[in-house]
Amino acid sequence: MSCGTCLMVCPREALSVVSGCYALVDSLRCIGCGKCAKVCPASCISIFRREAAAG
Amino acid sequence: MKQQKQHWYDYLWIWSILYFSLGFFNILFAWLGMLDFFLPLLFAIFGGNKFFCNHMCGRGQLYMKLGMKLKWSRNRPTPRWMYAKWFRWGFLAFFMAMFGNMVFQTYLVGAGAASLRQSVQLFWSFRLPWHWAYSAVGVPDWVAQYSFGFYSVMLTSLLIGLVLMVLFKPRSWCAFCPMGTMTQGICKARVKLKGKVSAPVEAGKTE
Repeated sequence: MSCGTCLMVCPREALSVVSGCYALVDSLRCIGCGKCAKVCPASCISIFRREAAAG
Repeated sequence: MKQQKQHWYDYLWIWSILYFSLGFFNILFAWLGMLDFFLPLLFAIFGGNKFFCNHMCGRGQLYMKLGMKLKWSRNRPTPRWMYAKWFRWGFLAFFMAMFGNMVFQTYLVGAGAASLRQSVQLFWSFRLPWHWAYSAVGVPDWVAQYSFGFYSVMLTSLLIGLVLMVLFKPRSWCAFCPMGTMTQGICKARVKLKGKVSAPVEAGKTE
């Protein structure tokens, strides 16, 4: 839907809407707080846990 | 935690409140709502983005203020069918049909075939008296008729959005907002035609 609600809540400005078509997450900026997923009215965003790198 | 940089357009929720307040006292202010119709289309057609929805929608900001800040929203998931393609495009078609009907009513009043109705029609069905907001001075009847019609559309969608804000997520209205469906359709068509995506829309820059 690209309504941009996720942009409003992201504390790290890690999200952007590309060409009015979809939301893009900058994985380098994202801290995985999940605020965007919580507010998305179309449940477009999911949060996945990453395994810690071994060693 | 780092706070987002504030922009002038982050305060457009105040404009939304102001718009509905002004229309309560003088219905002719309803014409200002045309900005909410044209700006998203201009951004989509010429910029290929949804900058209006993303950053300038006063209504969306208002729902967030009420739903998140004041915690009026239950924050439950929006029902799937509300953001399904068939419903979004179906609602747009319904909305445009009702809009067309409103424009036709304005034409009838302008042509002298119907008389001015000084009322606001909620949910395309219920007429509310609104005569105090209009004194027949200096403007043709069709201008006033369009104001009543347009204010009805704006108030109806605001109320639907408010109910959805309380029941589901704050910006559940955006799931099937006709302007959002239209502008996204334009953006997608542009990408298809041009064969490339434009730069991401971030706060503070449009392209």
